[in-house]
Amino acid sequence: MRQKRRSMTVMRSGMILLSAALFAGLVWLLWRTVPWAAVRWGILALCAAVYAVVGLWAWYQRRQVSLFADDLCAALDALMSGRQPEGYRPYEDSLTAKVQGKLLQYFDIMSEGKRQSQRDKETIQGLVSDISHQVKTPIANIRMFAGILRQHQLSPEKQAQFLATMEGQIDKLDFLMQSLIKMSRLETGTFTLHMEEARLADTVAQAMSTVWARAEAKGIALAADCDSRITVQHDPKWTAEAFGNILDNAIKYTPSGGSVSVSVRPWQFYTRVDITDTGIGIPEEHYNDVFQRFYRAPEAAAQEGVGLGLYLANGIVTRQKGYISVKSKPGQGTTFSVYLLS
Amino acid sequence: MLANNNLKVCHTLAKRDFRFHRTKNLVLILAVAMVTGLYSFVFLLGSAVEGGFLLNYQYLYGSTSHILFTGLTENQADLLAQHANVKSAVRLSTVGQLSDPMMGQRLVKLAVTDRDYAETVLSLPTTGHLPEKAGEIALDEYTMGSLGILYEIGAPVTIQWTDPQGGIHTDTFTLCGWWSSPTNFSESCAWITAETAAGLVPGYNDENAANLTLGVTLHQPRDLEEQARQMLADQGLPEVAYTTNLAYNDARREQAFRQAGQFYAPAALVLVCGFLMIYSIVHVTARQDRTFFAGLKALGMTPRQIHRYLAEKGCLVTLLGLLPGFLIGFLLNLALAGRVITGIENPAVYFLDWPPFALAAASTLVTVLLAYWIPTFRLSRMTPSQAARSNAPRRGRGIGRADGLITLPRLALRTLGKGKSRTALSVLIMLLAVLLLTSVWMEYVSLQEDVYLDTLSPWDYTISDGSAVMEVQRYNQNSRSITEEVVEEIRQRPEVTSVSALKSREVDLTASEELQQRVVDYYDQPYDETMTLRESQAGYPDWVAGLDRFAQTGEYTALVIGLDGKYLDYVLENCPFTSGEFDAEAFAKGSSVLVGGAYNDGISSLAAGETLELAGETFTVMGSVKHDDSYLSGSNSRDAAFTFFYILPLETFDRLFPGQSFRQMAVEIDPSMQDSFEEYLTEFEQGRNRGIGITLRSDYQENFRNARMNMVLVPLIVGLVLMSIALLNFLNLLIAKAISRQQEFAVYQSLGMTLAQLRRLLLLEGLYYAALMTVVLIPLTVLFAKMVMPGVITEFSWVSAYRFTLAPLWITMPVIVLLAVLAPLVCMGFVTRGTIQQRLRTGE
Amino acid sequence: MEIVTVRGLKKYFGRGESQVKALDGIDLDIEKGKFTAIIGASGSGKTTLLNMIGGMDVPDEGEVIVDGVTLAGLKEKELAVFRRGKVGFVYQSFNLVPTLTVKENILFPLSLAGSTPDPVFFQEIVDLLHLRERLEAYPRELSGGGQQRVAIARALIAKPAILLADEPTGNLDSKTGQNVLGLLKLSVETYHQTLVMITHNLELAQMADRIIRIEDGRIRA
Repeated sequence: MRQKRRSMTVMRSGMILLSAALFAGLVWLLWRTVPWAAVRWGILALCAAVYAVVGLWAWYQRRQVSLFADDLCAALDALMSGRQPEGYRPYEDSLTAKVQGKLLQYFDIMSEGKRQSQRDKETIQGLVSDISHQVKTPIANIRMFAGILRQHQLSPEKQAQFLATMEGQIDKLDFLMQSLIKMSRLETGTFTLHMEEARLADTVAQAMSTVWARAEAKGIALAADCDSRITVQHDPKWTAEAFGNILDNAIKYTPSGGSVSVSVRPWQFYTRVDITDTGIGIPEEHYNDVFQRFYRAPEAAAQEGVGLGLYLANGIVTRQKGYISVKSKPGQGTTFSVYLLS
Repeated sequence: MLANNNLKVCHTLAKRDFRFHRTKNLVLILAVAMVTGLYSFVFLLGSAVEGGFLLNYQYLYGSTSHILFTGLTENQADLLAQHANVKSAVRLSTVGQLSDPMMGQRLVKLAVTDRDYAETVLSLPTTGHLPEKAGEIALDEYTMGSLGILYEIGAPVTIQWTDPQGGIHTDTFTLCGWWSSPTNFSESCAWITAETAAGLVPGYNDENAANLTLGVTLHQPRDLEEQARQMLADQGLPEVAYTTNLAYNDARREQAFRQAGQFYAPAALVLVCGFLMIYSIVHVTARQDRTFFAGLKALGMTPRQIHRYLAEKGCLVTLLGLLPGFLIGFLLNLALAGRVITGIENPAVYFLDWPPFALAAASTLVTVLLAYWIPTFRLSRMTPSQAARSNAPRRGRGIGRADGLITLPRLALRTLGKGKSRTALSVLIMLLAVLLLTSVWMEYVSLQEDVYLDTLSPWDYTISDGSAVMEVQRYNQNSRSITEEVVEEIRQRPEVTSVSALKSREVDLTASEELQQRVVDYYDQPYDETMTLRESQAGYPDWVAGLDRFAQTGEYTALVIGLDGKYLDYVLENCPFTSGEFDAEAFAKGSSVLVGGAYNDGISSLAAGETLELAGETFTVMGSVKHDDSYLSGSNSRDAAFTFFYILPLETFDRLFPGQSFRQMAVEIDPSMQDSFEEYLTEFEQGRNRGIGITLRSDYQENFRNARMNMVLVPLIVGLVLMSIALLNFLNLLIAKAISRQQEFAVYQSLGMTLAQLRRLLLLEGLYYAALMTVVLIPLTVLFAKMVMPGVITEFSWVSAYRFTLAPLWITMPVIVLLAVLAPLVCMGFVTRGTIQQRLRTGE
Repeated sequence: MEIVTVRGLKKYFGRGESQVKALDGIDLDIEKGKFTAIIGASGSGKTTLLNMIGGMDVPDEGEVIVDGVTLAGLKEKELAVFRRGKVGFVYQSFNLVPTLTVKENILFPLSLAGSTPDPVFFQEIVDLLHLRERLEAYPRELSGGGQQRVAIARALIAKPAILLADEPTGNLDSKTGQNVLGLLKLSVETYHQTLVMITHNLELAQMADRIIRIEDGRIRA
């Protein structure tokens, strides 16, 4: 930088010296060769005029640049104090408009980020109150059973029953805690995806193993159709978690005797994983809502759950540059399609 | 506002366009080459014609120097040569003047060799060399001819010459070189070395010997007279005689430009025709282009960028077409300039210069840019959707039958309605081409050979003195080439039916004060709104000088003409009387004279009833005429540039000036014996050793035919090019119509149209187009020929007479019909190639 | 927060009996950062509406306000700048410049604006849309899906606030269509853009945050 500045100074003095030398040369040439005084002075005046015009041109350029800088500073000042820049013509084909446009876009994205974090803060507050609400019941139950156990002499059968119930409540707490941890890591972005080219069949199998017992208990047929040769660039652990959540959800809303199937189809850019159930279905207007945090369908109020599963699944898939779409016919079943970038 | 620099992308787009649309751009480049060719041809020819005129003036003047000062001493010459206005000066020291009687009045100076001066008067030996040794001499071919010198280096040359003091000498030299130059008709130099000169006239180069001629070339050859006076005044020199170069005379330059104007004028035609040519090529893909521009605009291309893109394309096409175009122009010029400009070998090369090329390049660029810009001007202001919509076919009124069925003719008629602007363009170009060719052709046939011949060569043969063969030659009245014997010999020939003779002599006279006043007043009268009669003659400095001399002193050089027979008839027929009338008896008696003045209304000379004293005799003026002197061969001396013509019977002339030879004679023959007479004449001319010149009527005929061709040559070429463009455009229209609807035809065929019906459909369409052309072309051309052309012809030339003809139209119409029938038939093969299924799919 | 506001928009084509009311009084607000799908039968005025929002056409009546600027007040020159900076267009027919390579096509809006591309962003888009290997190819050497990906990349490169897509999958088979749409949605989410898409495919429309139905130039709820 210093070097550059020095060379600029050298250039400037060089230019001044050069123009002086050129002028001197011109004068010398004129006085040597042109015999008429009027012509001499005339040529000299013309050259001086040309020089002046060039100077004017340089000044004009300089002025333009400083105007440009002024405009930019004004725009920045306005943005800093949260106003729209004055006299901003967004669609003028000029450098000023171009740079101002970029600035505004930057400002927009920044304030969008700010609003987003504001919203996040609000949701986290909601979350805290939600969780405290959700946590309250099992804790109260545990406390109650613990009190009973301590204060009353109970038969061993009764004791065992109460302890099992308490265990169930503790499981529920544990599940909530697990979900919370996952979610908070998802929100804060601290969890890292380990993308690797892995067999999708393995991931699907792992996901199915987590819900196998529950399906069997409910009498729901589980089926998977996946070519073991298909490999996808993904994080197997988290993707299995996402699939598991969707499967869990499917089993939850599918009545006994129904079926849940997984099919995998490789496309050009995406590998599509369809998870189809024969459950109660989702009305069209709630397609988007099911991926919201703590959303629980009114029909599903009876089912246990916190409404975090699909939200998590969506988050995981989106992080991997994939997406999820839903297609459903109420009463007949739902298909969640997970598109993973192949 | 700091502008956004975003034009680079236009350059990329333009460059890519060339790579992707090779054929179209190649055709465009060819078209541009054609346009450039036509422009450069027109400008080259124009400038060559202009240059030819100026060169002619220069030859007339005899030197390329701007001003010639004569009779200077060494000191005076030095002073003038040092003047600030002078770029370069050449000088000539004259020892004397050749005075052999055979030389006649041709002025040949015996001068000391000066290579620079010789260059300015175009008198460098083309055979042999300039004298280097004592006793050597170099001469021009005219002088050699007069003196009868052998064309051989080392031949002895004996000449008689007069020194400035009037002493006559005879010396013998050795010939060391000769040349032939168009500047030497009236004046020439005989070059000898300085030592020879010193031997002949000791002290010829003394300081005080006023024998120097100084030719100066100025820095700025403008207002030569003014500059000459200024130079003399600046250097404090007394009145020194000087002459100024005619080629730099403002009036002459303007005259030359006007003369060349008819050769420059077709540039306007080239503009129109070039615009149409390029426009029609660009227009072929108008639909795709519009879609393309709509797409670009949708992506955010500004109007400025679109203009820039088109300009870059235009410039690129122009750039690539320029060189071949220049070549075309040059070759055309090479082939045709020789026809137009005579007297110079290879005028196309001689007058080759860069400005016509630069002008042609600039004009081409303008033409191309106009063709590119005008169609897209509106487009660039539209939004993309509007632009795309302007492409969509507009729904016209149906021409179906009321019951909804459609017949083949109706179907064909309906296609005629599609692409109206394209059809209109095609018709417009064709109309322009036909109109242009019609006008050129009508001009051509309007030029009447007999009118021309009657005026310029009222008799079969003119035999003139050797010094008066050509217009630029100065008649030498001392020449003895055509004597009484010659006239008698010709008169005795069996073929000859009549011989008329003419003599002339220049006589210095002084006018009465009354005449002086009358003439001065006459020439001071207005010629038009801007100038007086006198000012209209500014292109003739000798004339102006003569009038000035006359106005100041009353002295003038009169031309006395003695004539008889046909010459007298000619004067009486072509020179209207301004006063008095002709009385044959009184004229024959020899005491009356006819006075010839300016060819302009009013009396500009002596009038009827006044008297004139000639060679001591007094004559009565019988009448004054507006004198048309075109019957005189050669020209008169400079002093007689301003003159009065005194016309006498030949006998009277002989009485006044005995011993004078004939200037010219007019011979009429029995046409059946033309060959034998011309054979005789050729022999006769050779036997006379260059002393006479014979002008044949057939020469004039040939001249006329050449001139007639030249007058229409340039517009004819432009017209033919425009016509070929028009025909190609029409053909293109027909073919494009057929081929672009390949899929549509497949649909028709799939619906059950037979091949025969399809052929009929295509034929019908072609015929409808031909009919459309006919309907527009015939009435408009007839109207044009009847209403516009008579006025044009009247203005065209003095020998033109209006004649109604539509020949170009009658030639064009069958070609149009033929194209209209053949093009669809030829296209049939292409259009029906492949199965219907394949063709239906190609459109997708 | 609305990025596009449309008020009383009317556009008629032709005159007299054959007059077509392409848009007959449209009122519409499009929220920033949302994905809006416009559906309707062909000839219902969807494309006209999209053209109006993109500054490609001028309305007969009513106004279009994009990001606080009324389009009617802009000259064609300014509209051009608007189009290349504010909106990105993806057409059914791709509308690529055939004489430019894929890379040049993608960078075309920037070239028109005279800007220098952000190489990191360019690589990101190219990778996202799997175009890395085909950068030096010409559009006609690409498949339909490939060309549409180029068109999407081109629409994204200037980081426009609004993406307008006119049946982007219309010329593609349903699998490729899903692919392309996925990429479009993904990029819109990644770069916080507003997407307005015309489609007649309900399944695709269901991926949108909001669906607008147009019938005979009017919005049906």
